[in-house]
Amino acid sequence: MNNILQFILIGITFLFCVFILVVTQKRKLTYKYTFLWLFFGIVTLLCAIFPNIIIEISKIIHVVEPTNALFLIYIFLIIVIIFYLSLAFSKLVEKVTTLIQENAILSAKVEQLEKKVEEKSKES
Amino acid sequence: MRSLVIIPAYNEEGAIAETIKNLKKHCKDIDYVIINDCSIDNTLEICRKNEFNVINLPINLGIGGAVQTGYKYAYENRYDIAIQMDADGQHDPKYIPELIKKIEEGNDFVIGSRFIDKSGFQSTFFRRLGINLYSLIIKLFTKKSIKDTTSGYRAANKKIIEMFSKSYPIDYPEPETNAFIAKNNFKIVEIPMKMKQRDSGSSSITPIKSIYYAIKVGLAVLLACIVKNREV
Repeated sequence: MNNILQFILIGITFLFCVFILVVTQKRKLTYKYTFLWLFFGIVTLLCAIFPNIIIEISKIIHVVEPTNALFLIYIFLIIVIIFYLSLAFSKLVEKVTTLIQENAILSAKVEQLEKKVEEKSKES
Repeated sequence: MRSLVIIPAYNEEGAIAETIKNLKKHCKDIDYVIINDCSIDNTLEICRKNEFNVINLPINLGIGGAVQTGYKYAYENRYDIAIQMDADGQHDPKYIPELIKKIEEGNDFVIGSRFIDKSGFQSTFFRRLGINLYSLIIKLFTKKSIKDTTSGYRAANKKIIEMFSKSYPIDYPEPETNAFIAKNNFKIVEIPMKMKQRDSGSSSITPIKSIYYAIKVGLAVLLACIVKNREV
């Protein structure tokens, strides 16, 4: 990797990490996901500052071009994150479904009670 | 034993009043609950006008979510038996006493089947193909025979009401739940019945979707057969 690419990578990942911290500070992102993305950012930052990490890894996994090794690793990481999001999403759907159902049952109950109260007040 | 009839309804303005009238004719004192799955027609207004017992879902959940609401209601109100019946007039309420009797005899789950006597509306060719495929998978993995795997006319005892109230598949749930119940050694029995062609409304499954559903449900049935004792 040449120096210019290295500087661009360091700059972008640094901004990325700052952005994540700012968003978390504004409470738009849950801590759970802050750690996930911050980890992602810090690893990228380390790789950008010490390109030897990637070069060594590419030797270990027998990829000729270090950039290709970088792509491979990142695609894998992204797939893991997407899968993790699918899990979180499925859980969320289940929670929302339960909420809708309980809400519907409750409002039916309230309606019945209201009717009963009305009838009682008419009687007396 | 106290019984509850669960009637999921999505856009059934043409049939719902007749279905409830029929139900009351055959089973005078039975409790029922209509689950209006956020219909975009006048189903809710008709239910309100006739003072039917209705639970109105504020957001459309699909058939599984609607039926599960019924099971939750049954569980919370401590019903012993829950009968699941379609709102569109396909299912004749005259079979309800028989379904209840089978549960009282000690079965856990009773399915109304149109294929035992092979009389009444037999469904379309492709749908039958799917039904037989699911039946075959269940037979292979659990050694139990369920002929009408997609029948939405079913009765459940207290144990299964509790189970369904906690976990129920989202769309096209019948085959999957049947497989799950068969796999977990509940006592299932099928009783013969005639089903009618729907009075009004259209099937929730369009031709384009049906292939997708067939594969998805097949996979779900397979998984339900293989994975034993999911958290109950």
